[in-house]
Amino acid sequence: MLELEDIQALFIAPPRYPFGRYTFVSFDSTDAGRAWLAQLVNQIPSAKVGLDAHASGQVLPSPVYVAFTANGLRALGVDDASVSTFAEEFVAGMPARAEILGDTGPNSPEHWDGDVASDRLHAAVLLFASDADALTQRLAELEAFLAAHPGVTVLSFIDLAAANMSRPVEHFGYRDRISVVQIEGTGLEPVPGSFPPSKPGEFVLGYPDDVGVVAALPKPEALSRNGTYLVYRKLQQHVGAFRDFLSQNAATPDEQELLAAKMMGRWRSGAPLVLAPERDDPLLGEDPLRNNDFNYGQMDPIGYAAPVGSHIRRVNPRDTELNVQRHLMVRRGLTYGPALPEGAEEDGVERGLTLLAGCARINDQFEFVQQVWVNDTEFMGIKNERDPITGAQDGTFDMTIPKKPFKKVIKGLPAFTTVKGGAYLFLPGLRALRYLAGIEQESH
Amino acid sequence: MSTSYTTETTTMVTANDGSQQPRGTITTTRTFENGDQTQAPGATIVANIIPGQEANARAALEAMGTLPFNDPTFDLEKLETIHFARFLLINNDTQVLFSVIFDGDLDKYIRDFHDIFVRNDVTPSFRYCEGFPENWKEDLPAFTKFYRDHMQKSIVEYSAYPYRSLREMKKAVDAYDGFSAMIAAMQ
Repeated sequence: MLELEDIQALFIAPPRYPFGRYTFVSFDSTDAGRAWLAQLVNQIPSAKVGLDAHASGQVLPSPVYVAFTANGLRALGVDDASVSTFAEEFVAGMPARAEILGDTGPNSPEHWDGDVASDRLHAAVLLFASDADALTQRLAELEAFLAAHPGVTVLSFIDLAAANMSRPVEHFGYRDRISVVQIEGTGLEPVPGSFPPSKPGEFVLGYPDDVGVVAALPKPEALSRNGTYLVYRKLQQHVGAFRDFLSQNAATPDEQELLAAKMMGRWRSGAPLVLAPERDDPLLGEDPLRNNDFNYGQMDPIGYAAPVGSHIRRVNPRDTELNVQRHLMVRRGLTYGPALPEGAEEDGVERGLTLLAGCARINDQFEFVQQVWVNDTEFMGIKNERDPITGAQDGTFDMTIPKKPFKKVIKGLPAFTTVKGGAYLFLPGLRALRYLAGIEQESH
Repeated sequence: MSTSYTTETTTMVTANDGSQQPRGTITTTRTFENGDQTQAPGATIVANIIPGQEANARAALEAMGTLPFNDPTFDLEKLETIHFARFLLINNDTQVLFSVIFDGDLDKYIRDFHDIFVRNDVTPSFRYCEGFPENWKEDLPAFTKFYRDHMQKSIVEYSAYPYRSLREMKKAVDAYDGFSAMIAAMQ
């Protein structure tokens, strides 16, 4: 039922890339943009190609994907009446949603890097590579391609690389990519403890969603069918500040690890606090058959193991909220910047992580999680707190760690992350890309 | 921002000579901490019934009234954001009025409300009102727009426990009920 040959592979094939580059471009004219896209579309692998590779134990060595802002669709000749049938958040653009997302103060779009907050952002080319050689070759090809199309201006690009080549971690040291959302119809099964595979309509337009409804497609259908809204976020990570916070609020290395665990909901090894409440268990952290197999409502209702306001509990409340599965997103993303060695002083070098989240309903997947779970200062009745890792912290919010006999409250959390970029994009299907490029379609 | 009210109550006791003597003074301070919410946040929706559809609108509301609202396993109970809700027909059955007090942003929760209708196969009474989208199940943005377009802004709001979320109130009631039961068992 899923038209796997038409959907871009990005959110369907499993993520497994240590390298990448996102290139942000602007079309100087409609013709220039279409000519550029007409060539690029042949490079883009479908979900079928990606899944076939995965099934034979392989990885596409260097896939490329492309997504567009609302301004980008207009620049390619899509009329205003059609663009206005797309999601209102996408049409407005992420910078216009700053109040709702908590992107104020240092997180505000006026401080974002690489011109991504500008109206001129039309498209993002997302390149991934499985090793350094594939990366070098693909980047050379990409740069040659871009140079051959002077009517498309590169606004900026960001180079991505795994923070650690031997373990999937981000810059604070937490193991990453544990909770992966799977989609019905791809043949991929989620690990134990996860929700069952999501209905395709939760992420891909034109399919039944979790309540069995096929949501009305934006117009024209030739453009929207098999597409996905892509939420891009660039989060700078202040590793020195994070490490200082741990050492200032916990005396011994063991206590610091525990504090780090209480903020995330998992030890940095990946072991969930619900299953390892007092001592880290690195083997558990690495074991995909066990490291996601827990819930909160039955196993930790008060949050003595994983505090109710901890990061993973906020972004996925599991069995303690209604319809959590309707708020999930498929996520891909990579870190950027060199790792800060253990024990080294903050060096001021920019590092962080990028999020690419796929959804069918920006308002009630990405924005809902951000506004109602991550940043809500009354999440689950806890007052004056936001997500300790990714919430918009300004030094006035607390963190409560439930403990017997008395809970511990840390006051005045500093900001460990700053939003440095973001965009709402649309990741069209392959036929839709050809439609956008003005290529003659075979009639169906 | 917070507002505080302090009251002092002097308790009296009857002395041996029959006179009332002051026993002590109890000082109570009640503080209301508000975020961005008004006292009774939520929405009031008024919509015009399509002439001739009054009976259908009424029937739709009555059908909705048969849902197991207070069943803890029912979606509405699990959502835990709605304090109160009322659905009425007003002005000689020419309009539907819906008023709800709930925690949070209508824009963010409207899909959860929409889901409750779809999952439970319930027709909203607004289906019989002017301006409601025919394909309300498939077109969530149009469903949301209908609510936004028909919202009436309150001029004055009052709550006896302003700025308290439903979850807080439920916890407080459970604690009170549990404590009372414990005291009763100790008698």
